[in-house]
Amino acid sequence: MEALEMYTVDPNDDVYTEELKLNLGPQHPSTHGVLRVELKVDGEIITASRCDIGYLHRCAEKIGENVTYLQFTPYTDRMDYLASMNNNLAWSLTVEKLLGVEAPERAQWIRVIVAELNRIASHLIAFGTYGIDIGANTPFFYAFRERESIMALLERPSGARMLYNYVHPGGVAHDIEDGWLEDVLAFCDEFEMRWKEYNTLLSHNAIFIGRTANIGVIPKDMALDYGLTGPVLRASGVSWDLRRDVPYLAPYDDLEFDVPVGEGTHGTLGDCWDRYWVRMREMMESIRIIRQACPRVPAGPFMDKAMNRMYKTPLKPEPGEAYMRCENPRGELGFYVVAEGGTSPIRCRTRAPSFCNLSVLDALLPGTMIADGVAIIGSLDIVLGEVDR
Amino acid sequence: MNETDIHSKLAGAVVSGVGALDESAKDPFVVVDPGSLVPAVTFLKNDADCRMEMLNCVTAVEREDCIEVVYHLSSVTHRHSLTLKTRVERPAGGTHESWIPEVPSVAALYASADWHEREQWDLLGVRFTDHPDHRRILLPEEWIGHPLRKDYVYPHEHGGMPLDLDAVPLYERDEATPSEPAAPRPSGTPLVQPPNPNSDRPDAGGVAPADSDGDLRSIKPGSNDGGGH
Amino acid sequence: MGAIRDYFGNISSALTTAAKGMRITWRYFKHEPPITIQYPRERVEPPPSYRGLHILQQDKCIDCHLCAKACPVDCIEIEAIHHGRTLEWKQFSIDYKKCIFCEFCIPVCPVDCIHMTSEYELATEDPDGMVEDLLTWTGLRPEDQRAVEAAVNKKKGVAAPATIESAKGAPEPGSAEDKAAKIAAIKARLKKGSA
Repeated sequence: MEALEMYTVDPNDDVYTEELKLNLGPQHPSTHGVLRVELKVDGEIITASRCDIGYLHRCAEKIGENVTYLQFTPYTDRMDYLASMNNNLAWSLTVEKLLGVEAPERAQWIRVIVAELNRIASHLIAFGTYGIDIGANTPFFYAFRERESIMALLERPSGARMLYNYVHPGGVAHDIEDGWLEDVLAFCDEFEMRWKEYNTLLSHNAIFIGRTANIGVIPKDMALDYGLTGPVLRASGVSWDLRRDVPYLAPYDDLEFDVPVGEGTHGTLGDCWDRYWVRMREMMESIRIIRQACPRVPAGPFMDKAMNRMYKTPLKPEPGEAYMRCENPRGELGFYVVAEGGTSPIRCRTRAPSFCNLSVLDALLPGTMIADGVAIIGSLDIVLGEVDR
Repeated sequence: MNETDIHSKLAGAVVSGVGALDESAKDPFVVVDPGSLVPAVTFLKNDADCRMEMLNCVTAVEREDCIEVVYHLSSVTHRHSLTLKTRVERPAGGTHESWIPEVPSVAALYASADWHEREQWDLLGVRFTDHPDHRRILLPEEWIGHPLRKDYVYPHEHGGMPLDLDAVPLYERDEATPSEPAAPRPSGTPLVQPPNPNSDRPDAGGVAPADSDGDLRSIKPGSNDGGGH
Repeated sequence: MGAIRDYFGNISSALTTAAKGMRITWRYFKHEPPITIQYPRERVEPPPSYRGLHILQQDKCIDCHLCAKACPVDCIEIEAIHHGRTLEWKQFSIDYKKCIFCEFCIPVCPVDCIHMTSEYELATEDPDGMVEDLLTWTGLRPEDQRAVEAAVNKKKGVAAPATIESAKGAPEPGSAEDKAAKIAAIKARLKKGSA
């Protein structure tokens, strides 16, 4: 906290100079996409900031009102394109809630495994690009190597490398092939070893800690006020994980896993390093979940028999509405769907975690240095495809 | 606590205008009057048994007869959640050009409401009174209309940029015969998207197509089965 | 004194922790084989379930338009004249500028005539060449045949046999002739795209 007080700007100060307006983005490597932040700076110190979003706006909600329930699944891929499986899962669960059906048991376990694999892949991007933001280029390549293994694993059942469109309402699109689970388990063993290397490379690096500890502190009340979710909320000391607290998939009840919470190891609770470290530990929790889930995948159908018709005749849920939320790598992804009996919903609202997590940025930036601002944006781990939808 | 308990607490509080709990819905919800929205949300946030610390989502939904704004609240402490709704009736002949419903803002209570309410204003044209920063958020500031309204007509050009899929791209246009620059919109003119007379799209005049089967996707206003005009 | 000790302590901890990281980098540099491949001389072999370019068995197609209806982005254009039971094909094209490779056109087909291959090289110089006319696929090449069988097996829920490559008498994957055949196929595609 001392660091923050040091940077307070006083207009009556002798060293106070003229304010400069600075445009960070929309094309800037540190903004992780097309985010534009208008900054007012006094020397190196940010005095005011204003986010300008919408550069990637595709009106996905309008598209959702014009396509059928099944056809919207590939569009959810393109919101948070680093965690397509989780987005598919959230949408499928919403449609299932609307229809009142439940996926077969085998599909549920497969969903858990693919969702956790994708969570690791997404956190790997957060880890790698955060290193680049701070100035460490090497970890990025290590992160992408493991992400490549995950993409190769997810490619085998789904048939695509990034935009999977694999989890459909009523189950999953294809069954997993023989030997896939063994390969997933082998990946888990390998990843555990690699994860220790990441920590040597970046997590415990003194320069990295110096750049991230005590920077961008989000207190607990502020985190809840801004509706932050996911690792950003947990880093502020709130133990809130939808997988544990509102289990949306039956297998999560049977699985044992911890919810990592920020501890303020190297500085204040809720600083950039805590957010980073929560993500790193979450990867290992996902590995733990996958290890438990793989041997327990039961035999049986992977798609609900009645739901299989949806490929030929569009789904027609009864009039009603459903809000379903899932724990995505970035936080709570919620879909609020209002049906009025047609083959497409009349409202298809997406509560995007990145959108809410980004809204805290304007409150965090004033009083920090520009270079710390980059560290703060990186630690929020936003995906602009989801912010703008 | 489940929704029934929260609702009985809320109805028992000094807040007026709280409707009954609709338990037939998938997520039971409470409808409150727009006037008593802020007191109701204040009560839910501050009451020790409710403690709704988090406002997850603010959604505006356009229905045939009204626009309803849906608030999804949840409590981290007590691990429960509640859906709150408020409705603004549609006046006779209220279209997206002539009718801007007004709902009090809860941005003073929840910082997360700030961006959510801006987004609903941007896309559905619901004005949140007393909002600290009532601007568009996703669309450009000079955009005309609110795209998620059912009677919205998709524009064919924005600031000289063709938006039709089959439009001639800017770089392929004939420079010798430039098209006439669009006149700047005088202040106070109604928010109308003029239909393109050269377009052969059936929806250019805003007429709903005859087949509203819904399984064919075309970005046409009113082609939905439910809602719309 | 304390400030100076902090200063040098910071420098030494920064150097030691960085050196620990460097040691890992050095180990990979020295002892591990590279994990990248030299595209286009080497290619990644996608799994049989891969969702790549489409192929159409037009002799089986019955012009039912179900795939076009299932498409979320309206990229399939079909046109045929019915002469009794025989069809005179005018058009069956997929606009790859729009296509999102979602695979929804595959399970709706009542006669299993449209499939997705493992072909993933879509780059072209001419955007107009991206409207692919599927009717030009006259007869199936061996690799398409394998893709079709894999797709049909996948649909039936039969696991693809492990030795599918060698069983068909195709060149060994990774061998020189296999690569040459693939490069020729890519060249043919590119030529067709720009024509």
